[in-house]
Amino acid sequence: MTSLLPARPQTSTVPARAVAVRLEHVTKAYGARPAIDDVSLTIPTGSSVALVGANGAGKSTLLALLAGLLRPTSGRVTVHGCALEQRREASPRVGLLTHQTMLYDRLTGRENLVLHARLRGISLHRVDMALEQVGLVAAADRPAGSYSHGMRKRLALARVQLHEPDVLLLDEPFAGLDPDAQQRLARLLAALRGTTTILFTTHDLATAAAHADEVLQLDAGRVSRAGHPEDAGAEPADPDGASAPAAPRARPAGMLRTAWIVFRKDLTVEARGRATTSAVLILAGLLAVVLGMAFEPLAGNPRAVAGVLWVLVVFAALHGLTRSFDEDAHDDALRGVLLTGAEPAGVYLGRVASASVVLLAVALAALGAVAVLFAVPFPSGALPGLLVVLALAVLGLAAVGTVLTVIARHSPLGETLLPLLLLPLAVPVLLAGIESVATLLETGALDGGWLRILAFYAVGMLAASTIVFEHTVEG
Amino acid sequence: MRWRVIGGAGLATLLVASALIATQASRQFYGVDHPVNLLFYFHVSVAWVGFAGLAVAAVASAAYLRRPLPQRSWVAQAAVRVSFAFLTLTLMTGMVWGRYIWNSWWEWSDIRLVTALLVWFIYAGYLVYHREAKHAADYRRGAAFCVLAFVSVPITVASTRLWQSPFHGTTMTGDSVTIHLPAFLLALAGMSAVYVYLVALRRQVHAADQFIPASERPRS
Repeated sequence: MTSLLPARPQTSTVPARAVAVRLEHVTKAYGARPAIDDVSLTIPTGSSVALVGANGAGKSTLLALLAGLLRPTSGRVTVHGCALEQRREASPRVGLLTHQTMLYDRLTGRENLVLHARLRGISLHRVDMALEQVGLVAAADRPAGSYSHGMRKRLALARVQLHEPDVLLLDEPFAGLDPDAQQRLARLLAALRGTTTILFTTHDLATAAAHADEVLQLDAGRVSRAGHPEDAGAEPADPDGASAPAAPRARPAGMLRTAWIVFRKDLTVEARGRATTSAVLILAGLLAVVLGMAFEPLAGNPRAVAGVLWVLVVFAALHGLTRSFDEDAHDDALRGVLLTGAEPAGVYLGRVASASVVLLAVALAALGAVAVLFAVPFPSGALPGLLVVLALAVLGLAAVGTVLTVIARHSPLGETLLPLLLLPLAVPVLLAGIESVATLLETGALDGGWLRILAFYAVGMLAASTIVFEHTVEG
Repeated sequence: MRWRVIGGAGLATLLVASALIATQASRQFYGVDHPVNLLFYFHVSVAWVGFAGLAVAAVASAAYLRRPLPQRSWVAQAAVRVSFAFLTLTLMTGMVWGRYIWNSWWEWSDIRLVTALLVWFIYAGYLVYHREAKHAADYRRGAAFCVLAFVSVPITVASTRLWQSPFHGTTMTGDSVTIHLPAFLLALAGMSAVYVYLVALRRQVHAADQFIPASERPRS
């Protein structure tokens, strides 16, 4: 079996018991309730630490803080001397396995790992090694959605190990695994012990005793006990120890590369699910037939074509952006992407680009279908103008819609809130889009005034949303 | 105490402005002589103060995103709530005026009316979102929305210049409008003081809310 052990600098260059993870007076509160309450802690390099405690004691929150998934309400967390706010420096050093596998169901096992490898800027040959390590080579080209629970967890473990993290954070790693997978994981943890700092949560003291050098007990958000498994309370970690030096690591993808990777991933997911295109084309046919039968004067009326077209595009945006976000939210897949250290702005731009391409394709198909059914001829030379108008309009819709979908879907009101947030903000696009298309179909000429509004809106919303997107996806 | 003084001074100023408007201001606007034209002084000042409040909310939200101090979120939420009430008043006074002068409560072809209604809906969405907000991450998302939503405000303010409006002229600079400037400035000052008082009051409610568990908080 090929080893997954990292090819890193010799540990002899690292001072003995240098600090890998340091928490200084860290508090994380949800509303008035602190999930982690003023915890100060140091964890030596290469140690294996078990976090034990009752449900709700704060174990998972502590791991999420260490991974940078959550921001502390107060206090500071560093990994090998890197503050977690420095995402691009800290992310390559940490791997997090949670109860969510952070995988895309519509991508194959291999594609999921390739996505993470590209975002992390590491060699793709690591993908095959990781698949072999978790015993998923035979199933690598099946969609992850077809995997059993245990297989998904193994694939998630491969994702976590892909970039050879200095600190491995595992939330109940043995839960839900069959005996064979448990043995594989036990072998992996044993192989990593001494070179990789491991923190894992468990309810099982036997598991803690088998795999940990030290046990931390969490009780109501506070570390109440620390020591060796067989001798709780002995030899606490040195709080004044120096941080272990941070060895150079591969840099995560930059903004534009991230945008390109996410763009390709989103189009692959849409091509396999056809969530937006199929639903909207069915609605287009329905609207054309029903409106055509109900309103006789619509036949031959370019303004009716423009109106129906924009009803379809807005429906496509509401439906498509929601479905696309659901793919991202399912099993915390988007969080997994952000954990790679990829630029959130790049993730946003990639999502906007893919949504724009899908919406543009839908708009063009719908325009053709509606124009034919309503017997509205295309003036010669109108197509380039129509392409420009539709491209700018769907870009504006996708730019604002992508952010608002994230905001709406995080609310308990869910998708019912999205139309209330999106439609009033999208009115300039609708107004300018309807007028531009109607004018083009009537005269074949482009109206410069409406085009400027579309361009201004698209660029303005893209810029503003790129800045605020990061704040909307944080946990 | 100082907020009450500001609020009281605002109300007193509004009373003086009302007296001045009732006795001194012209009732003739756009060539129509009618007492309902005097609503203009309150309609415009409540709209201006409401929109200015939304600018304050956007700045406070941007500051909150930069550094998430709860006080900044409270100011933004309070400013939006009070501005929303002011926007509602703006729409209502506008509709009453339109009923007498245009013989219509509402005109969809008037760009200022429509864009103002859209701003109202946009911030209604903000308030609906915040009813369910519980965690710091929810407030960050709310702040992000508040920053984006503000794009609609300058569009509305400039709408009568950007688009031809068959009804709603540029309010202050139109040839057919003669304004009693001291009365207008007094109304504006009084309305601003009342606004500041209401925001301060609302901010105190948000500050107090943090000591009550989210599940036990009254929905306001």
